[in-house]
Amino acid sequence: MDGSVETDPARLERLADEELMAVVDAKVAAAFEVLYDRHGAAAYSLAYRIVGDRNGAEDVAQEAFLSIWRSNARYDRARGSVRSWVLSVVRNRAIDALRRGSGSAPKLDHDDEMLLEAREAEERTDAEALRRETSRELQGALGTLPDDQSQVIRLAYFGGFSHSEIADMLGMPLGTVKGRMRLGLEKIRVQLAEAIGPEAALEGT
Amino acid sequence: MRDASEHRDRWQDDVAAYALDALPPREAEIFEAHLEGCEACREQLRWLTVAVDQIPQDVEQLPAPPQLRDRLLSVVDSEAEVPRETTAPEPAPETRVRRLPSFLGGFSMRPALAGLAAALVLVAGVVGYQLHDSGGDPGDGTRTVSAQAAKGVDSSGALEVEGDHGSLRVSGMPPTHGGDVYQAWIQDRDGGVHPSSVFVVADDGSGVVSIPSGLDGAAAVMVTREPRGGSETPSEPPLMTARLD
Ligand SMILES: [Zn+2]
Repeated sequence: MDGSVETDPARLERLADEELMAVVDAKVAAAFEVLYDRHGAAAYSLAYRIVGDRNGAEDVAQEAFLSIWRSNARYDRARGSVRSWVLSVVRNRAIDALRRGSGSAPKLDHDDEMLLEAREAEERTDAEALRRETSRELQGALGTLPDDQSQVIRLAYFGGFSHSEIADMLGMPLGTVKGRMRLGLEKIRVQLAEAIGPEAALEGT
Repeated sequence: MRDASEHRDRWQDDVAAYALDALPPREAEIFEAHLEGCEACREQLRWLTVAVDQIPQDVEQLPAPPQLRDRLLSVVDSEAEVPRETTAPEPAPETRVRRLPSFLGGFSMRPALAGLAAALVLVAGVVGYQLHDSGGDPGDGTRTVSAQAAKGVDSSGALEVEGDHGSLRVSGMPPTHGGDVYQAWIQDRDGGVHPSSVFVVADDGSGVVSIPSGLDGAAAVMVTREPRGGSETPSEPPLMTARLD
């Protein structure tokens, strides 16, 4: 392997995520350790939010990090930050796990009725999943959206439902669901841009 | 101009649904084919992907289980071109939660009761206990046993026992997250572990839990963190143990 690859733990800790990934790809365990310590809790938290139980979340986070380690998932700078990329790997694994586990409808919003859900997981219907998908991320970007927009985005992102499944669940036209997704995402995006600065807000519209 | 508005009507909502991974596979393929040749949609996708990336950042943050880290790093060391040095310093402690002692090399499965009993050997015993019945007053007397926190856990507790029941007073317990609770367990002298009360602690980490029965002849009372509603068997090594024998 390349002799210039950094392996000193103290120096690895000072690398930016993007630089660190190059060292992880060179199969340096200490670099992976730093990567995990930076993003492990966020990864586990997202997995828990999606699959709804601790053992499942642990399995998902483990699969995600091992796929990153084994370079089955490869980081591409064009895709965004390392953090966002790690979380997108976790999200994909978590949705896969949901679909494997439930056969048809992914589970949603376990937190509030965890015990009930454990018992009723088998007989859960989409309507029940929907009812439980109440507002959760109150402080975040989703919390600033009108409920009708945040609801379709939550169902897609955390539930893994397609737009047509969501339209069926909500009993509304496909176009309405897609339109709400777009309006919600655009609003989040504009807020982010405004938080960064006016130049960024202009970019891309 | 008409072309532009037609293009927008046809594709603008698909971009958002695609960014959210909400297009069914066939539609996603069609959209990807369009994306190949459409810089406007690629640009819009890049723009909206930043919004999608924000969604998971707002999820309630929980501490990752320490055994997950242990397991991952043992796999990674075994597959690495450059394994970590065995003398590598301990990682910086988690800020959200105190690390639990690694439990028999990590526990990917729920520990069997026998394993739990073995782990108790690793936890130091009674700091000290006093008998309060020297004065001979109240009934057959109460005694207070100090609970010993697991290594790396900065909590303390005192179990007051009166006959078959008692109460455990704790302080400095780590915060719980995501609906987790604390649960008390009674270990009998054969090593069997039986569920007792579930409790929560105040913001300052203090709390009192009543142990309604089962203390007569018990070997120890332990505390673990469990999912809401408690568990039938402990999900993690005890954070705290009060030995009675
Ligand atoms: Zn286009």
